[in-house]
Amino acid sequence: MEEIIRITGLNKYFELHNQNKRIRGCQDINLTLHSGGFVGITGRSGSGKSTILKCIYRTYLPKKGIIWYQSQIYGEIDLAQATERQVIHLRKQEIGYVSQFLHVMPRTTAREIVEQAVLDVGYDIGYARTEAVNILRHFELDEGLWDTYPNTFSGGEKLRLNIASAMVKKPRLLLLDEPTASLDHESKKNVKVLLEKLKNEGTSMIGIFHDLEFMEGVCDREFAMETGDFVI
Amino acid sequence: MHQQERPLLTIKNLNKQFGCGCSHCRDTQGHNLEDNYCPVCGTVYACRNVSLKVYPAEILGVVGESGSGKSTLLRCLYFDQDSTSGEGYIHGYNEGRTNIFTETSQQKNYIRNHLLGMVYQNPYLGLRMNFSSVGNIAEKLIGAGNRKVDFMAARAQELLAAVNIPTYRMKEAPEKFSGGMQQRVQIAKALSNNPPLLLLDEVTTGLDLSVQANVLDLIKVIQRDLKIGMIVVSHDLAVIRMLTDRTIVMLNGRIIEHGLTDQVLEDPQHAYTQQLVYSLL
Ligand SMILES: Nc1ncnc2c1ncn2[C@@H]1O[C@H](COP(=O)(O)OP(=O)(O)OP(=O)(O)O)[C@@H](O)[C@H]1O
Ligand SMILES: Nc1ncnc2c1ncn2[C@@H]1O[C@H](COP(=O)(O)OP(=O)(O)OP(=O)(O)O)[C@@H](O)[C@H]1O
Ligand SMILES: [Mg+2]
Ligand SMILES: [Mg+2]
Ligand SMILES: [Zn+2]
Repeated sequence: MEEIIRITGLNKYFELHNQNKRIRGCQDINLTLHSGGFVGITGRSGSGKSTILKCIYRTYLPKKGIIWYQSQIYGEIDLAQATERQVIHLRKQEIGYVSQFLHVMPRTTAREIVEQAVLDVGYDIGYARTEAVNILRHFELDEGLWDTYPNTFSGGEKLRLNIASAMVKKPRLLLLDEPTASLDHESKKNVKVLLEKLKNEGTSMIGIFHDLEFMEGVCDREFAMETGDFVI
Repeated sequence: MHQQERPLLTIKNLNKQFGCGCSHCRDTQGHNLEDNYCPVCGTVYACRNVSLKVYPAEILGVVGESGSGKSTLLRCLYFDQDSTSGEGYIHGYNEGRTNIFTETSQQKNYIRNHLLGMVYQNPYLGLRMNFSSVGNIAEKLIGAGNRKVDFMAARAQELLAAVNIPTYRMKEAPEKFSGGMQQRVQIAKALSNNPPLLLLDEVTTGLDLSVQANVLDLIKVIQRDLKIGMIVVSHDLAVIRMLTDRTIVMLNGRIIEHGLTDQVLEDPQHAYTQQLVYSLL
């Protein structure tokens, strides 16, 4: 099967110059993701799970190693070395990232946020409008909230909006860092349905889930930080 | 496959010094300076070998402590100050093939009037405080070659409405306005000639939080709808995070770090950037 991500020898540490300290993020990671596959990463707190995802997304600058990514716009590209502009384009068009934390503009409504995500990919406004409505409905975000600003939303509502705007792009690669951490049972089920739908449409995913049962329900391979290898 | 992107603005090795320099400070790569200052002759090296690119519809953030050269950089770009040396190319002026810093002052005026908009840290620098708001915008439009009074009045009203200045106050002079309103009039003025590149210097500094949110909101909407490239200078990292795609960090006139904004803020590489970021957490 074709690989969409191949990470070899990924190393990340943080040099805190003012404290003269070096903190280990992740070490010698070798991990592959097949096209259309879904890998879950497990390991104890502080073992470097989020660090891996952030290196792929380039929120963190990898120190060593290669992150081969099979891109639609650039072909095969090493994300560890990609230029800032390349990463910006990839984030807009191909790679999504969802965490528990929502960074949104003040005074942008929930609907606008989701529409903008679709527009970023390059679709027209008509399509963006329809898709935004579909996804907001799917996540059962109360219609009364669609045209309001999310800074007053509850934690769960923010998270659902966050996931919705990442998923509505139907990204080629989706990185999920504990996206369901504070969701109720019903919302988790919605996330699961959508993850499966995305997977069927070809999105490849890497995720971290503290709920192992949930993880086993959606992932097809599990990568354990402790051994640095896949658990069959 | 993806085409090579063309930058809107390219700056190469821009230098700006105040003073002539002396044998102690010249050609020493800054080794003999105290921060950006020569203790022997008193020359200030405000911008040192600054190189950067801005791409169409992109917002570039500039952060750094007071005196690091952020405003000087923008003023050189807007030709308020002559740069000491360096090259600048702007798409839309001679296909980006001519160094704008060595053009005649007439050509510089053309570039400023047609391709650039500036919002100053201090509204007194950007506005004629005793002209009406409409008059301030008309002034910029006249600079860009407009002569039709009806058109200019309509354009001014449209822009002032877009920045939420109520119609009944448009004829008033900005000196009667609050700080937030003055900044919004400056933004309207800067936008009036549809520039592809907007320079914003600390636009939200000194404003109340709710007014700040208003101005930030306006900037984001402008960027989204008009696809204008911008350089946003701010010492407020929350503003930088909210608005910008990429960020450069300046210290003593130099760019010491650049990167994707979230990367600069979450994984800063340089000791100074780490201090800047972590001191605010
Ligand atoms: N931006 C950062 N600056 C400094 N150290 C960091 C940074 N991000 C992570 N670290 C450190 O790197 C190590 C790995 O962190 P990471 O967040 O990847 O762990 P994790 O496996 O995701 O843990 P958790 O399950 O608690 O989320 C930790 O020791 C952490 O303190
Ligand atoms: N006209 C001038 N003559 C002499 N020195 C100047 C002049 N203008 C600026 N400087 C000096 O150039 C350096 C850079 O100033 P600049 O205004 O660009 O800083 P800044 O980064 O915008 O600071 P702030 O955050 O306080 O606005 C400072 O040391 C300043 O004193
Ligand atoms: Mg984590
Ligand atoms: Mg300044
Ligand atoms: Zn000197």
